[in-house]
Amino acid sequence: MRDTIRLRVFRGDASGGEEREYEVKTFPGMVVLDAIHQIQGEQDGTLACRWNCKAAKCGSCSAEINGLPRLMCKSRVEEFYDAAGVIRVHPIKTFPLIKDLVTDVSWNYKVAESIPPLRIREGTPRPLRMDQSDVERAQEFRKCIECFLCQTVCHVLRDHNRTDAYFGPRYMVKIAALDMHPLDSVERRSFLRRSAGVGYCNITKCCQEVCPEHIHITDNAIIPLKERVADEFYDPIRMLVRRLSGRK
Amino acid sequence: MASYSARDVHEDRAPVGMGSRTDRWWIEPVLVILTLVSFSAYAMWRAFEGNYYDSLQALERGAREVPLLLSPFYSPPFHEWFPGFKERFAISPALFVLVFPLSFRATCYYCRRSYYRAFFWDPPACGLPEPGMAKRKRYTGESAWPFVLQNLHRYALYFILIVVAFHYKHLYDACFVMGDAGRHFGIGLGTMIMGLDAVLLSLYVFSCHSWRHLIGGGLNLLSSAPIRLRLWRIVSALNARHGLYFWLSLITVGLADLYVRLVASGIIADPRII
Repeated sequence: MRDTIRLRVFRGDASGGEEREYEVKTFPGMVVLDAIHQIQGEQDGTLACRWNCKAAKCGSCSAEINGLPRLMCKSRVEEFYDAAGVIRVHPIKTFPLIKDLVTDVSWNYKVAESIPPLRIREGTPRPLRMDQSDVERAQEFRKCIECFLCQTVCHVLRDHNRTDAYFGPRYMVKIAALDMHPLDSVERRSFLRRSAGVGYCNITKCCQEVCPEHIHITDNAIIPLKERVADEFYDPIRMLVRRLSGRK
Repeated sequence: MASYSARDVHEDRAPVGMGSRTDRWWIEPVLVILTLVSFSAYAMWRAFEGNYYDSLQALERGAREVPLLLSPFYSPPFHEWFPGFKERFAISPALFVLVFPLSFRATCYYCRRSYYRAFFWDPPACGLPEPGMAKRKRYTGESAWPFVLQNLHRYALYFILIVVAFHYKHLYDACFVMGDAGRHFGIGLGTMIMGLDAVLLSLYVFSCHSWRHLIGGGLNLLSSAPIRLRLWRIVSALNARHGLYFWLSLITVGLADLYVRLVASGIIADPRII
């Protein structure tokens, strides 16, 4: 590993900004967040960055390292610097820029509030009992740390700016966790199609590729939800059977 | 080093075009384009050629013994069910057959990922800006015409299940040879290739996301259906390698057709193993 590396960090806010270069000393096991802290502590205390746990569990230090969204605390510097020892660190692009590496992700919390919560089927005997085989799918989704890397890499939100139509991968995972819950009684398929906009996802799987918790977002959440929506709205045979049998 | 003004900042977000990827992201789309275009060109050529799809044609060219091989591009064998198919319908039977695997692959969740990236650049790779965004219509994804039709993937699955069954029927036939002594048991390289094709096509089809949903993914109380739960777990394990099976089965189906063509046209003789 090199003794020093050069970090090109975005400095600025919504009125504009620039990349500024900082030289930092490396040490074994150093991550990009360590380098940012070194800059803050030794060179420029005005550099803004959000962080908390430094253990890839709080999901605060999301940034774009060499153009791809990642957690700074989980990105070893030796995996990222180029032949000239340069690493580029920028704020995540999908959400409004506040300052330097800090963005306003509050849109996500508003989306979360609009999702119909879990409602246990009436008459379910207490205490509640669930078989492990019924909850293991949802348990994968519970690993989400809400770093919003999936939201920022999703091209529907990032490039097409369709926050008006699509909730994004994070909330597909949340809806899947609720909809696949064995005791849940809420019908979410119409909500998924119309409000959450599951049809806007075109399965490019970038969300799955950047997930630091390795949740199979597309394969285990979005595609199964698309299939559930297809059962309801796009399968003419099922629709006919439902109509003939008088089921909703 | 790059600097950005307020004009570069769109809706208060980080500047567009800032910090694009510098890795070799283009390798994957280039490989996808090369493979899919090459396969499509070969499949179209073979379909329009309308010949050398049945190894028995080698007997007419003087071969003494040939394995019973039928090209997967001509299976199900519409040409046998409707003699004179090409003359009656004015199209090669292969074009009729190709509708089934083509619709299955074109609506396949894995394949969609690949061609949306490689051909539509929607996006070309993760984190990259999409070219020509300003001129493009408002994005609707798979929620509106024509991509809303991708939701019919399950129907393509129902048809491909029939095609898979025919691949095994032709694998069984490939365990026999036809020659001066009539039809008798015999296994050759052609049998192995047909077997590989049938197995990899099965792995591809039975690892399908729609199949996974049909088998048990649509249930919330999987514990109440233990057989479906067990099947769903098997399909889920296969599903993790769905993309790999997509490419392998694409290659082996082309390889199987090429092999049948070489045998049927008398260019090579099938080496017997048993």
